[in-house]
This record gives sequence, C-alpha cells and structure tokens, in this order.
Amino acid sequence: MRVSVGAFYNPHLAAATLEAAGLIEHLAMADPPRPDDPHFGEVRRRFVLLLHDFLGQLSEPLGGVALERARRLAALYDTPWAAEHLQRVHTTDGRAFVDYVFPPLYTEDLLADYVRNARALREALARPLVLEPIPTYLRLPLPQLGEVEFVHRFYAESGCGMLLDVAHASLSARYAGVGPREFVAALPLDRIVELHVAGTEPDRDLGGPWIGAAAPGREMLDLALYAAERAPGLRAVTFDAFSTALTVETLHAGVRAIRDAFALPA
Amino acid sequence: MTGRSLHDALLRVLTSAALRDALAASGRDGALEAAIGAEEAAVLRGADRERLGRLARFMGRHFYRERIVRLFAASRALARRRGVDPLVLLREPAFDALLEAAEVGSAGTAERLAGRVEARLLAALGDLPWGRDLVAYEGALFRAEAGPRCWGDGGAAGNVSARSASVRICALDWDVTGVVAAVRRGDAEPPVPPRGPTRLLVALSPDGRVTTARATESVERLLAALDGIRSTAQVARALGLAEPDVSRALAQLATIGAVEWRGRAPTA
Repeated sequence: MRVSVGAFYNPHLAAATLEAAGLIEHLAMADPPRPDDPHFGEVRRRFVLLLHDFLGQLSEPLGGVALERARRLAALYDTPWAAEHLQRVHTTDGRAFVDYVFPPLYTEDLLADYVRNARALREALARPLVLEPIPTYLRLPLPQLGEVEFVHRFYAESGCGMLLDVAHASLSARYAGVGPREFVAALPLDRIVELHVAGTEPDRDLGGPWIGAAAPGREMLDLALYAAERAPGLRAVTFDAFSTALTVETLHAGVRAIRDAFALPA
Repeated sequence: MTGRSLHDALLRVLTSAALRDALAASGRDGALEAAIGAEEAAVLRGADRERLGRLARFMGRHFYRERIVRLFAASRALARRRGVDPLVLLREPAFDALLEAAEVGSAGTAERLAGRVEARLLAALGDLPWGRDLVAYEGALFRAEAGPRCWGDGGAAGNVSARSASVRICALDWDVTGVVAAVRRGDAEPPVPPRGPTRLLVALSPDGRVTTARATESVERLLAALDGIRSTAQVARALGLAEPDVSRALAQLATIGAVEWRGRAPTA
C-alpha cells in the first residue's frame, strides 16, 4: 500500500496548502474548522483528512458530549483512523491542568485505564484508533513499567495502532540517556500506522532540545526511515508542524524533506 | 498511592509555585501532604529538582504564551504593526519572577499578567480612539478564561441557578467585536469599529471556551436575579416572566458558562 505524505492543517496557510495539493496528500486536523473558514470546503474536497484533535485524555472514559464531538469530527473528516495522544494533562478532579502534551506515569493502574478507555473509544468511533506517545522529560523515583514496556502492552491489549512521532521518541531517548535508534528499535514498530516527522528546537526552560515546528534534519529523517523500514503497516507520514508562526516556506521544506528521504515523489 | 494519585500530585506541583516551594523545604509539611498525599510528596521530593523546576517553567510559559496569542489576538496584531509584541514580556526577567510565584491557570496569576500585557498594548494602541476599548475587551477575555473547567460530562447539577464566577460584563464605548472577528479570520485589514455604548457578556464555558454575547438589559436583569438559592420558578415569578422563557434563557446561558447549576432549592 502506498504511503501518503502530508502535513497538519494550519488555517492561516490554507490558501498555500491548497496550492500544494499533490505535494501534500493528507492533512491532520488538530482543531475543528472555524465556521467562517472560507477554505475548508475546498480543503475537505481536495485532501484526505485525519482526525488529530484533543478528544480527551484516555486515563478517563470518554462519553456524552466529548464522545459525540469525537464522532461528529470523525464523520466530518471521514477520517480513515482517529488519532489521540497517549497523554495525561489534567488531574482526576480537573482542577489542575497543563495546556501541553504530557505523558502519564507508566504504572499498571494507569495502563489498565488507558487500555479500557481506548478500546471503548475505538469501538464507539467504529474506526481504527491510533495513539501517539509523548516524550518523557522527567522520571520519578518509583517502580514503573517504563515507557517502552507500557506502550508495548498498551497497543497489544487495546488493539490500537501506533502513531510514532519520531521527534518524541528521539527526545525520550535523549532525556533517558539512551541512543535514539536503540530506543526506537525497542518500540512495537509493527503497530505503526502513521509517522510524525519534524525537527526539534532548543528550549531555554528545559535546557535542551524539545518538540518544535521545524523542518526535520538529516538525523531525524534517518531515524524516521529506520522506523518506517520496520513498520509493515505504515500508511502515512505527516510533517508535524502546527503553529500560527509556521511559514509557507517551512511547510513546503518539511514535506519535501520527507518526500525526498522516503523517495516518494509528489 | 496509585499511579493516578501520583500523577495528579505531579500535575498539581507543576502548576503551583506554592506546592513546589513546600516540596523543596526540609521537613514534613502537613499542608503539602494534605494537598497531594504523604506518599506522593515523598516520591516527588526524590525527583530531579532541577528538571522539575525546568518543566514547571516550561509549562507555565507555554500556558500563558498560548493565551496571549489567542485572547489578545486583535490588539496584538495591531500592536505588532507598530513594532510592539506583548510576547516579548514572556522573555523578560519580570515574567520569570511571576512564574516563580504563579498558580498556573488561577484568576490571580491571570490578573497579574493581564495588567502587564495591557500596559504594553496600550503603549502601542492608546492613541487609537477605540484602542483602550479593544485592549479592555480582550483583557476581559483573558481574565474570564482563568476559571475551572469541566473535562468530562461531570459538573454541577441541581435545580438552583447561579451566576458563574467567570462571567463579566464589559462596558465599552466602541463595539470592537468586529475587529477581533476580522483578525481571527485573517482579514488583511480589520474594520474601524462602530462607536456607541456597547455591553458585552463574557463567560467561560465548562469545556474551556470563552464566549461573548450581547448583554441585553433582560439578560443582565436575569443574571442579577440569580442568587444561588431560588429555583427557576421562583426566579421567574420574581422577574414577572414565564417560567419556560426563563428556563430557556438559563439553558442558553449555562451553555456558554454564564450560569451554573447547584444544589436543590428549598420547596416553596
């Protein structure tokens, strides 16, 4: 099956994105289209759309209004699979939250919650569900499964596919003091449905590289290829840049870099 | 202690300067342990303190950067044309100091930061006849956003309606809502707003969206009548309105977060 190459839908670059149809085959939707978005109708006609919105953190069950929203978006996009992050961003009581992707602790109780709720969401959406692990920056001193074992068991027990963000994996490896290829090799690469590829950027607060919206460099592309060669179920590679500061130049550069590295001409 | 309770504790510590300070202090802290759990506090004390602090600063800076971009969108766009970007604030030592004392997401921290952002924007836009109103309106959006969220389908239930804490009425001399809408659409040139007394209701919905509605006299009378004690029927009688009409209005206001439901009213 041919692998699709795409990007995120950045509304401020809608016109340029439409002009790049062909270079870009699919668009990941991080936000619902604005009601007054003049381009969305044409975007919907010209691209395969992938649901990649915040549906809910799957340590909690998804139901009611949130599930209806997920169903509505999945239908609007006619998405071939729905994607969510393997993240936990708010406390159980909802009073404290971080407005940024943040991984869970890799414990048995949380694994059971994620497996149960992911299965329920997948069944409710009646389409494949892929989960994207989040990089681990801070490890706590307690016995845990570890990120690799957690994701292995999660995908095996939930039946979900994997969205491997190559930058995320490289960052988890770096902050764990492990080589990136060694880290990626240990992941359940046979579960990969989609790859996200982008460059990292230095962050002053974290004191090192972190998730960015830059075009991927050679090392990141090589790591993505390494994963792709071991992913028989791979269907899509997405340039993972979603930012109001993203420029057309970077958008084109990121997608072209992926196409060149993967030998997938437009 | 479970993985869930420990992760809850970690999120609380990452978003609370007070909890991080208590964690860093030596000796047991009853208040800290009451807030996050004794076992959880012990584990977090063993975490890499530098990385914990760095992660907290990263989360806080990102949190407020995103909100300035989103909620001061129009005034920021216009100020940038004049060479002023309020995001520069986030790289200044004064913001670092604010972060070191911040309760991320709280009304207090939002108020402190909003004042600084507004001052920066007014320096750039104050000469526009409607500049102050635009900054004031977006400042109201920013402050309203700092409120509790309902992440699932939970939330208050009951038959007593009350005005929610996040709702505020913005009284302006210029109707700047069209300027904000134009900027968010990406219009090349926002319109000059119409001049005239404008009252806007700003509220935070349970799922975290800030909504603006026209604050008509009837809406303001209804909100003023919600004392958190009387039932809908009692409120309707007090206002001389039909109960179905009041119910419908309250349901709409609850959707945008201007009204919340509590407890059960005493039977009349």
